[in-house]
Amino acid sequence: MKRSELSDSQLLSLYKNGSEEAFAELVGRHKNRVFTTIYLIVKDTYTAEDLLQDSFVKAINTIKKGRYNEEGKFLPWLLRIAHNLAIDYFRKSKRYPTIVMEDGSNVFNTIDFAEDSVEALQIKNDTHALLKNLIQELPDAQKEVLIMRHYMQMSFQEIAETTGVSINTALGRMRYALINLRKKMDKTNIAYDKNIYRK
Amino acid sequence: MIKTFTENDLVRFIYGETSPIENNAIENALMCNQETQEMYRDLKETTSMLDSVSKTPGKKVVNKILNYSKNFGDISVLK
Repeated sequence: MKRSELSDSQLLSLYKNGSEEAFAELVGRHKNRVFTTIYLIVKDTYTAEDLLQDSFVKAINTIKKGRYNEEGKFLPWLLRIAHNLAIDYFRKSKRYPTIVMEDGSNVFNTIDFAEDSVEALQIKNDTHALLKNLIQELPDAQKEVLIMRHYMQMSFQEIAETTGVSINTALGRMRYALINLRKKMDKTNIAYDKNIYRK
Repeated sequence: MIKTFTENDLVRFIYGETSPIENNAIENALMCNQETQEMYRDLKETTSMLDSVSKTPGKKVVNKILNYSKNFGDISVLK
């Protein structure tokens, strides 16, 4: 069986037994989601790369020292590490970042180009940049739930427990986040092809 | 038709957190209630757009991570 066909827990077992190739597959599989999650919190490409590195180093240390015990839940575990590090970053710097380093997210480290026409790619680029900015404009409580549910794949129950609110409050925040994003997208009048985003 | 779910339930439905019974109620409403259809479409399109937002880290940092694992404990490879 090819490594790409193995589950995360199978790859982790191989990694625990010394397969660096298995770890490389895990990194390749999840680096974008972890990086995107961190970036949406810290809004700075270079800080996000530092925190991505710290997250994986922490994961490596835990696994190699035999302390990893969350079989089958590798990505949520890794995302929690990343999220905690990003939050710690703010606590240490005692500020919420206000500088958006869009110049750090150049065309080569932003998106997957596969099989897109030049025109479709331009639309995607515009929309990605816009959407990232619009997410940053959301109220903190809405942004937090959106990142936790959509990018960290936490359930609404887990989000409610983590943030200390009721599940209905978490759901309401998510709904308003989506509605607000939609309104902001509509207001910008940017031409985007909805078919690009359909799954 | 009496609506038996809330807008928050629609969000749970989109994220696959509703029960089979709730799914039936929502799917029925989606077939015959225009307001629900529009709300669902707007929420779904927005979540689909969120899926498209993906950033890729630079190769350099990825290589540092892989090297750290290969040379476990040697923090000099991270500099």
